[in-house]
Amino acid sequence: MSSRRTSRQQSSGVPRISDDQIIQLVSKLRQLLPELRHSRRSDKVSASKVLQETCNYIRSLHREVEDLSDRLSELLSTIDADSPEAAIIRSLLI
Amino acid sequence: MRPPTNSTTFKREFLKKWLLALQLCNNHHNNNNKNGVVERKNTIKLSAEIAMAAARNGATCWSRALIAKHSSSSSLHNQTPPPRHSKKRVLRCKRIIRRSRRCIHHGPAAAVVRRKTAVLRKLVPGGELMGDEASLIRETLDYVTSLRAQIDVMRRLARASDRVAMCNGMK
Repeated sequence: MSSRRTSRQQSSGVPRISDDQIIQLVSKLRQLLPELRHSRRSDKVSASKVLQETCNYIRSLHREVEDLSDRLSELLSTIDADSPEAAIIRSLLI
Repeated sequence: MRPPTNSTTFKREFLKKWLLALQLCNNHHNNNNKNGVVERKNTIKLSAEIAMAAARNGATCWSRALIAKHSSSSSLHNQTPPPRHSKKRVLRCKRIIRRSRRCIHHGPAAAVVRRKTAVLRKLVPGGELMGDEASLIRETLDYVTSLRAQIDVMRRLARASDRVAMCNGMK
């Protein structure tokens, strides 16, 4: 049976992924998620729950980008890029 | 994959590139007289997405995938680098990855994880090309952090614009 991974997709020298590695990565994900971050560390949260929450979170982040783009398109249309207002905005941000 | 950069550095990079992209789009649109609100919104969203990917400096799969996706877009000038994956290679990658993943997980719990992972792959740019779960999760971590930084900068710009508009008595 041919090997499961071809050399083209693997970066060289990557060892086989251990379960521990995945567990660590999943716990890092968990810390990012607002829903799960506040639950006690000892609470066992299943990997599938973390993945589900991650998908929900990414979707909500996308929605937020949409809303902000909407808001900005209305605000920025009144401001000309070379005007002093634009300079004020830039100085407020940086 | 390079370790995640300092958040402030990333935000500065993103802002720089985003403002540049917005200016380019403004010049382009002013020449074509397309100034509708919807056009503007798409420009803002598109340029923000590209700037976020560009600010990552090609260190992650998701950022390269985004840039490849947009490099053929006609709404921006050709400021982005050429795509890393041609269409044929992408299809081959997908076929090989699908074949290699078929036998790895067994059991009903693993099937649930596999389903969720498949959904995640669709949400993260370039997710379909990431072979193993560890890479996918690593990319997801980086993508989520970058999205949050992008949103933070956009929110500040919105607040700043609000303040300027109020000072000008437009509200």
